[in-house]
Amino acid sequence: MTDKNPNDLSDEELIIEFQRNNDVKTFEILVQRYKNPLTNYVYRFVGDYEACVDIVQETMIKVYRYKDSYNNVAKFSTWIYTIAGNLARTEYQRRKRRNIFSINSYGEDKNETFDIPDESYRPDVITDSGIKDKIIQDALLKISKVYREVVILRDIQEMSYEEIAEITGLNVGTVKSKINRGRAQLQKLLKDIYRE
Amino acid sequence: MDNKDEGLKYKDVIDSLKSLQKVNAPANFETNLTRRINLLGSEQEESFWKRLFIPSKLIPAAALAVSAVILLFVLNTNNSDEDPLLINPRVRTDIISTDDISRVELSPGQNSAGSQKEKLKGSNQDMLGKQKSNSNSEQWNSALSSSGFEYSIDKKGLNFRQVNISKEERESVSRVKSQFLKIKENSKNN
Repeated sequence: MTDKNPNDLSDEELIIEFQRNNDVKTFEILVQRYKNPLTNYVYRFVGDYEACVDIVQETMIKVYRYKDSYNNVAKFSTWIYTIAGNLARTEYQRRKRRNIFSINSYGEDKNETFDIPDESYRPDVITDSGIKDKIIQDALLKISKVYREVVILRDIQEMSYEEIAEITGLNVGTVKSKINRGRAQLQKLLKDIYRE
Repeated sequence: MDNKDEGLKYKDVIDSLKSLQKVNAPANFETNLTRRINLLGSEQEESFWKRLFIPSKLIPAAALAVSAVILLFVLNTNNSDEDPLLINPRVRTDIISTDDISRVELSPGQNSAGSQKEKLKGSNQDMLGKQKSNSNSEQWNSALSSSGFEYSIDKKGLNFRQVNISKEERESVSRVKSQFLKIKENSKNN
């Protein structure tokens, strides 16, 4: 262990420390740093809070179990976002296949309730202030998942094109064009709220 | 420059997405995660057995296996070929293995020179090893006379091996030799 305070270490230093000494404290710091950004990213992609929390937990478990498969060449954030993205895509496909919920009719059922012992912001519970959020989220779920992923990473997670390219495995040019196509689709879907 | 243009073009969309309220993990996130990590080992074992014995997954696999076995039996019973592992081996009438030459009955068909020679070669080895009695030598003699060919011994026909033998063994070998020579003379005279 270095003399530095673990909280001052970079993500890469923390994961390497975790690999070398199996120090759970370093893993806990990484969880602390990434649980909210990943929850935000996965929720915007999947559109279901419970499923999203489960995916983020699964992502953390994968990091814990397969910590040795991380190599220092890549950024830790890229690695963890790739894991979360893969899991989110798999979950999305599974739900689509099983037809658990219809993307087009998502949110139409006003009686939809959730029971999670958490007082933090719940985007799927509609309040007056959250109506716009809800419309945008619905629009996000309506666009193709290929465009949705890159738009979320760029405009919500505010990542660079290079990072997005690394996470999605696409080249930078393709990433840029997909982002713009996704934005164009969103603009069509959201034209009504922009008129107001 | 292009990116800036695109940014302006979709400014409303970008602003809307950026203004979305951040979604956070639940307060009990770490607690649940720790619990799941602690259960990881046992879950792994359980999942293996579950995977093996979950009826919903086992039923199609079992049905497939049973139908495959049935199909195999149906195809097998229609097959007219006998199972080579179940049939008795065919008895070879051209080879006779015996400890006592006197018990061998020669059928007329077996009197051809070639087969007789083979038999004699094999029997000869038995005779050398077991020192046949005089009565056996008479049978032997008659067998030779009925065959009607000149008999000779060569090392190729014998399973030839050089061994150091004791004095007693040497005597018994010379006794057998002399018996054999007698038989040979008798066959020539007859």
